[in-house]
Formats: sequence, C-alpha cells, structure tokens
Amino acid sequence: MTTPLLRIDDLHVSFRVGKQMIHPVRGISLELERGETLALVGESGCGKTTLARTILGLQARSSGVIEYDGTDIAGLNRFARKRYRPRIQCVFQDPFSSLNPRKRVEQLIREPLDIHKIGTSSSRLGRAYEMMERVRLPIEWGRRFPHEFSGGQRQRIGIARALVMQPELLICDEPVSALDVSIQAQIINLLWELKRDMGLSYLFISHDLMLVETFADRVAMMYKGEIVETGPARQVWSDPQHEFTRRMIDAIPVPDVTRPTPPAFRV
Amino acid sequence: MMTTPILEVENLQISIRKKPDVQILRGLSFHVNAGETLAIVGESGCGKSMTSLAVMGLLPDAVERLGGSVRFKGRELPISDNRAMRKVRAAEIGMVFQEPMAALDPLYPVGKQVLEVIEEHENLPRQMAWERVIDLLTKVDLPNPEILAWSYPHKLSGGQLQRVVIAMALACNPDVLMADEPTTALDVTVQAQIIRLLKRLQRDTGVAIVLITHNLGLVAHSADRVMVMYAGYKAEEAATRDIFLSPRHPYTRGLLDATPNPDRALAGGGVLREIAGTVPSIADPMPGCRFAPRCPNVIDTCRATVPGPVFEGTHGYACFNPAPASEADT
Repeated sequence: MTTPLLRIDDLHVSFRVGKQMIHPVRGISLELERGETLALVGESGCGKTTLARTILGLQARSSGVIEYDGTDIAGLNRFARKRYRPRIQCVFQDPFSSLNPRKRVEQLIREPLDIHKIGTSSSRLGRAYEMMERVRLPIEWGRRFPHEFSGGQRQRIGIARALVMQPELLICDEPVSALDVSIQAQIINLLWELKRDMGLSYLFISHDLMLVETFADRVAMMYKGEIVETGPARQVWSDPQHEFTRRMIDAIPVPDVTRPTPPAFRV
Repeated sequence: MMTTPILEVENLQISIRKKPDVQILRGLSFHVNAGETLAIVGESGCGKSMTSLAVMGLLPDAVERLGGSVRFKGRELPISDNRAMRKVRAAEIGMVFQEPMAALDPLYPVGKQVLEVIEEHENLPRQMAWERVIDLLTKVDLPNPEILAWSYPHKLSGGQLQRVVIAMALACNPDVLMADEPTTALDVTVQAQIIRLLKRLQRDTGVAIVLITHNLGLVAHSADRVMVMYAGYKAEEAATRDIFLSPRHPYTRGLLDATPNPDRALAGGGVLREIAGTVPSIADPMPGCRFAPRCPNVIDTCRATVPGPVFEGTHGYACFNPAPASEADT
C-alpha cells in the first residue's frame, strides 16, 4: 500500500479560552490519498477549523500524529517544518480579511514566493501573472488593490496566492460560503479544473453537505470534535449511517419541488 | 387560501440620495396575499433587503424614494415618515433580521425587550403585558420561558435569539412578517427548526410571511409564491412550483442550475453550471436589460430596451427572449 498524502491518527487539540479549557478536536483519525478531494463537514463549533489550523501548524496539537507524505510534521521544529509549508496551502472563507489592503494584487500573489525566497524578483512576478491566468483574472488587473474586486474575484486572488507555491495539498476552509450561488458555482468549477490540471489534493471544509456531495470523492462528518462517519460522498448522502448525519440530511432542503418536503420542515 | 392582497408595492423607485441615476430599485411592483408566504429571491445587491427596509420605512439616509407607493390593506403607508411608521412596525408589519444578535440590545434581558414592543403599541397593565411575553416565548418553543426571559442575549444560542426576535416581531399580532434571511447565520438543523416554527405560527395566526432569502432549497419547501429579483427589478414572479418546473427568465434558470442539487448529476465540464460574469454596478448606466451581459439568450433588443413584465396568468417575467414554457407549467 502506498503512503497516503496526509494521515492523521488520534489527534487531540485542546487550549485555554479565558479560564476555561476547551477540547475542540477529540481523537480524530483520517487519511487523504493523493489526488483525492476529502470534504470535512460539520456544523459551526464542531472543531473543523481548529483541525485545519492544526494541520497547517497554526495551532499546536495536544497529542496524536499528523503525518504528511510519511513524516510527522507536527513533531518538527520550526526550521524543519518550513520545508513543508509550501506543500500545504490554504484558502480561507473571507478573502478580504486575508488580503493586505495596501498591496497590489500582483504583490499579494507573489508574496509567498518572496517570503520563501523562491526564484528571482522577475521570475516571481512572472509566476504571479501565470497564476492570475490560471484563476482567470485578467493580468492587467495585477496593479489594482483588493478593494477594487468583488467577493468572487477576491477568492480567485486567494486561490492564486495559495497556488503560486505549487502545493500538493490545498486546505479550503469554507471557500464559497460567503459567496452568492452563481459565483459559488464559478469558484467550485475553478477548483475542480485546477485539481484536474495541476494534480492537487483537497481537504475541503464546509457546513454544506449538499454542495460537497456534488464534487467531493469522500466525506468525513465531524460532530463535537470527532469524526462520526466517513464514506464516498454519494453514499453518505444517500445512505447515512450515523444519527448526526441523518439528522443533518433530514434538515437540508433540496431545491426541488417534486421532492417531498424534508421531515424537519413539516409542520 | 384567500387571495386578497394585503401588502401592495407599486413602481417603487429608490436611488442614492441626490444621485437619481444610481438606482437601487428600478420601479418594483409586487403584492403579498393575506396568509401566504412570498419568497423574494436574488443574489447580493439585487435590492431584496432594500425592498424590506422600504416597506418598513427604515430606508437609510443615504438613499431616497424617487417614486412609487407601498399600500397596506389598501391604505398608503407613510414610509418616509419615521414617526408615523412606528405605529405600523410590529403592530401591522413585523420584521425579523438576519443577525438576531444585532437586533437585540445586549444590556437588557430578552424578556424586557419583548415587553418593550408590547408597551410601545398597547396600553396594557404591566402584569398582563408580562404574561403576554411569557406566552410569546412559550409559543416560539423556548425552554423555561419564565427563567429565560431574564437572560441576557449573550447567554442564548443563535437559534434561541432568533426565536426571541420572532416573538418580538409577532408580539402585536401583525398581518405581515418580513423575514430577511432569518436563517442564514444558523446551522441547517437550527434553520429547519426556525422555518418550521414560522410555518406553524403562520398556520395558527394567519400571518403572511415575506421570506427574503438566497436559499432556493428553503424556497422550494416553504413558499407559496416566488419573486426573483435581479439588479433592482423583478425578473420573474410565479407560484413556487412554476418557478422551479418552468422558469422563463434566463436568470431564474441560471440560478436553479447553479444551485447544488444531488438529484441532478452534471455530465462533464465542471461540477456546477455557472452564470458567467457578475451583477452590474448600480451606477452602470446600462440602456437595456441589466442581465443582458450575462444572459445566454440575449438578442439585440435586450441591449437597447428595458424589458417590461409579461404575464401569462399569474406567471410574470421581464424578458424579450424567455426560455420556452415547460409542459408542467399550468
């Protein structure tokens, strides 16, 4: 058997908020194969963002293993860890608060290359323009500032910025939940194409099971800090095993008037 | 069901103050029948929230009404007169906003805030008014209402807060409830509870609900009629079933296609069908249909002339080149 790209084993994360100790990740194990899209679905406060932050190294683990390509990256020191950073990139929910308003788009996109000192100044700019084309932003917009862009376009900037490092794994934390449905479709299709063309793997964090059902390979359902169910996306949707998954599906209104009204909506 | 219009909006035009060319609502007309649920659907910037604010007489200072009227039970509402509208709000038209936390004052117990609404509109002895508060909190399914009434907003969950806001909106038995994205900030299971609560209250009191939402799934399972808005005008209006089974306006069709739907697998070329481009800026002085630049059905007329509404029975749409009616449209 080949090594999975990402393997998490019995991961626990806890930290202090004020005087209280909270424990948002409670013994999570999961594997992500190369080229796979794994959706992590749960309600607000279930720990999905904490899990993403821990994989990215933005949050310390309490115990457990985070193995990337066979190496336990959570156990590495800062310098050793740095070698892995380009390989795992992240796209956030709100692209506006994650983009420095005082920098031009071309600077924002090349910034990760500057930080990691990859290539020369002109090659970095070239790479930035290449990424703008990939995410279908007109390259003449490179001199503009983030506030001149709509939500969907800003998310394209965020994606370009993540991809400029040529990562293998892209962690997308609710990348479309702030967007309108027509723009959501544009971004989802873009992510789908990028994955196909660049051989990416995705950990896609979402609260929207109906959305991820349309494009994820596998779904992991997270509830109160634990993974309660995993399986092929289609199967989780059509034949949910865990009580939490069933309750969630019962509450999701499918936009189809020929379907019976979900049980949770009936008066 | 009765089909008496209880709320009628006619040719409502709202623009940025002192900039009559920058129009937010471009002559919007619609009505709400007594006891029905009308869903107003559209993407951000289409004017759906501005519509609800206009009806409530809560238009921000930065905008002004250029023309049009809002009638409630046949009587013109003084929507530009804030003092006069205080009598209308809550008593005749109630309102539920997207962010329940923002609708409540963090410094007062939630019960007091419901009480305030009752005391503003009705001259009741304090004791009776308080009993009404407890009764309302019970009706919206809040646990231990006598105790919960003394809780401050930060002690309650998002779903509980939204129930308090619904209790406030219904405190004086209004005939119409404007609900602007009432469940957008909530988890799906809580969303279902809130929608079910609204439907149950509607069944018990006969209140008409205007549900403003971008969630077509909610619309499919809770609305009687739908109005689709785009860039400040009404693109299409029909019974819910007709909107879903036989959308005529290309924008409506585009919205339905872009919405994830597990029953409809997409063959090749992406996973969702997108609508190219973005909503035009309200300042864009476009001569024709504002959807024309994104429209797959666009013809020359569309770029030159603004389409007026065409009605086939109760199914109306503003389009020169609509999609063909499907068999299911009745």
